[in-house]
Amino acid sequence: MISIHVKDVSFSYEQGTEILKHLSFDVCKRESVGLIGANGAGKSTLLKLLVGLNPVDSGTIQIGEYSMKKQYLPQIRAKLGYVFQDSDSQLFMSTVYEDIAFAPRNYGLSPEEIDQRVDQALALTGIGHLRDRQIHRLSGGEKKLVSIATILSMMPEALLMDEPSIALDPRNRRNLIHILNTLDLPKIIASHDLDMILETCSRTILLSDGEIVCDGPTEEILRNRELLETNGLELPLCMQASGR
Amino acid sequence: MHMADALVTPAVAGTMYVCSAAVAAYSVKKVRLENEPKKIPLMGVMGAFVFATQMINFTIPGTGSSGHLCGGMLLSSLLGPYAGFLTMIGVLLIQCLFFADGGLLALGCNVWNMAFYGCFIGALIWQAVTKKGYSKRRIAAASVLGCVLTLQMGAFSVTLETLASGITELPFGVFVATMQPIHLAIGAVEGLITAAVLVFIYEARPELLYGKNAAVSAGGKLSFGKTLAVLAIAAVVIGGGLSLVASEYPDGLEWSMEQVAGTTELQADGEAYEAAAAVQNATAVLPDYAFQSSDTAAGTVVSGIVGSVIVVAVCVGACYVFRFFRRKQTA
Amino acid sequence: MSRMGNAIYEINAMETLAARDQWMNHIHPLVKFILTVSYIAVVVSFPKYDLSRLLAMAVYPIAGFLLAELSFGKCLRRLRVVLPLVCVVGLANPFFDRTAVWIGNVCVRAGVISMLTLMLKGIFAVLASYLLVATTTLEQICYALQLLHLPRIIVTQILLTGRYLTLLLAEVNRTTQAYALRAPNQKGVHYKVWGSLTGQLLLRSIDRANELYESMTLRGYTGDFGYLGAHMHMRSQDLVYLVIWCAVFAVVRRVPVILWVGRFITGV
Repeated sequence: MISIHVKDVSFSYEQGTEILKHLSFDVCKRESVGLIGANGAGKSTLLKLLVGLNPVDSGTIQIGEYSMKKQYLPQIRAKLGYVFQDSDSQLFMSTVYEDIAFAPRNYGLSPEEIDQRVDQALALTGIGHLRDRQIHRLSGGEKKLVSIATILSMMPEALLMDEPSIALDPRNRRNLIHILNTLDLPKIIASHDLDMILETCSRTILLSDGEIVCDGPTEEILRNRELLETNGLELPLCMQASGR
Repeated sequence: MHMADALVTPAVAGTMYVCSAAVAAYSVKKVRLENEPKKIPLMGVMGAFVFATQMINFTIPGTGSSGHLCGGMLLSSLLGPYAGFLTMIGVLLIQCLFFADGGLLALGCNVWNMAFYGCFIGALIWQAVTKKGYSKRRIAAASVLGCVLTLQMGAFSVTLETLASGITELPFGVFVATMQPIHLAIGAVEGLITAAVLVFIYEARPELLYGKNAAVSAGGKLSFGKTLAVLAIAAVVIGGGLSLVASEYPDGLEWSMEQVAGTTELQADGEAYEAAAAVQNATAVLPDYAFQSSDTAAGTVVSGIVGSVIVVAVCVGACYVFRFFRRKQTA
Repeated sequence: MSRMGNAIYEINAMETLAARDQWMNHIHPLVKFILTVSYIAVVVSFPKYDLSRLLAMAVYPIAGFLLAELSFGKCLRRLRVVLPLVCVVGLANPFFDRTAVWIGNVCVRAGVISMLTLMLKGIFAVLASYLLVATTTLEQICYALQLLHLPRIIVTQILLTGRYLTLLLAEVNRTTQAYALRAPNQKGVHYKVWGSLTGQLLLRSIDRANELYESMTLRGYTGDFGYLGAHMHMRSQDLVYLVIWCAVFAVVRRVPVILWVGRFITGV
């Protein structure tokens, strides 16, 4: 079981402008966590800290048995799969197969194992029919699912996702939510799509200006109009409709 | 500037492939030594960037025409000469495959004419001008000077390669007099556009410029002597390679040597006559009346035309039969 | 900015063709690559007056286009890129090479023949490369290059450039369209924004490359791509295809096929 411990973590890109201020939280249970907050609140930055793309200024991060140190980065990155907001940055190989096989290949698996991993990832995301397609001819929705499959082929213990539902049409978004809910993995999902968070995550962390304002059950936080509005957000659409 | 396949003979193309491949092999070694995994994706994306921005039309003030960006110079000032050169190979290959811009056989020539001069000579000029530090003026000067010079060298190489292939009757002087001034103008415009981009980068994110970061410049710096040595070796290889194959393809090479050296008067009357005879024999469809009666000559023309028609018809027919049976098989 | 739209269209069209489930598309890419290069090499190796024998080389593109069910018309559009330089070089020949040659009763300058030969070479070379890309995807070509032991760093770079080409073309297209919409009376990009327009695009591209690198490292990349490209087996029929065409090239190069056939038929 994966456990993520973030303790008193601060981060700044440049001296003096802190993006994240003294964050502490743990993810221990097999739960999915929504990460919400207005633009520039620090959601993406936090996710990147968790996979060691940015070094923390102060504080500690512990992923499972590994503390965030350079020598443990490969192990940490194998545990936490990070799905980028822009699928085009995530998918750089020419065909779907090649892209999903990229990670297993880098981890030195045999061709048979790679094949098996790819097919498994394709099955989990329900895109077996895309196996030999060229990446740049996929639609936005297909690209997103392939991005997730490229991460699943690493068999991570948790998924980190940055705005997974952005730029998806309603049907693709619905399908994505369905797939996220069928994946038996803990997830941390950073998003503005509060309705999706409501459907996929049991717990939510609300960030504002680099600080954790609230950390608790999703239902509670997303129902709290005042809390959301003071932090630059609004009630989820489904709640707005029912509230009226 | 992109040479088409028709402009080279296999000998010239092969020689240029050897030279370009040698530089590529050395560059691969150098880029591996730099050991910057980050560079590989950057090279890929920058290749696509150069390709895409070469499609933008930049209006040239005071004229109705437009210019384009110079890829080699831009790449070498961002990636360094070695990675820039390798990136250009990719760009040129894709241009030739997808847009018929330059040919597959002439790729060696094109890599040399555009990527080698653009990246290596360009980098030398860049280094020389920015040696005492970077400023907007120096960057602009380096870009313009670099583009003009590398384009001149490239255009001159095109002339030499075409003449060495012996497919044109254009005298050396005329050819050079057409190619160089045109590319002087193009070079100046490309230089200005490249300068504008690099100055913008210098102001926005100077650390992106190659060599701005001291650590990089120590390993990947290009030495003037080495580049000269490469040029010298290339000259020897090209000269040697071409004279080796000259015996195999006397037609093209000797002819061009005559043109370049201006020693056509060496040909005695008899030789000229033999040469003419060779022409006639080679163009057997079109024989000279001096050798055959004009009746048979006309006959040969007829048989040539009939022959062409039959060969094409047989070929087309065979293909349709093949297609027919394949369809039947799959159906 | 139709140039850009054209480029995007062209790439898409080629990829659609190359992705077809067609007999020719299944031939091993290495075979097609070698054939294309050898064909072009043989074509350009013909002496400059050897029009009649060069003509017979037309069988390869003709057969290839028919077998792969490609349209000649679409391919001929690409000649506009190649022909200018070839024409400049070729059109000079009639003026400088005035050796008289007789065709029947008409006197022609040898330069005209060498000009025609040159143009034919240009056309044949373009047809042959088109035949290659219309039946082979870029990945397959890269696979062939890998089999020819091209350094992996170059192959990787070609693949990545190919992958991001359409993306950046579309981005550049959007940017220039947005520019044109706000500057309706300008033909191109004004010199005052040369630097900033292109520079912004450049910065965005570099950012993308950085993100790309991040995404690679997160999936275990340490500086070397593993095995690249599509795995394809060389089938015996691929080899037969290769051998047949090589034989045809060799025969046509050595023997005046057209004249022989013509003489045989007309009995002259």
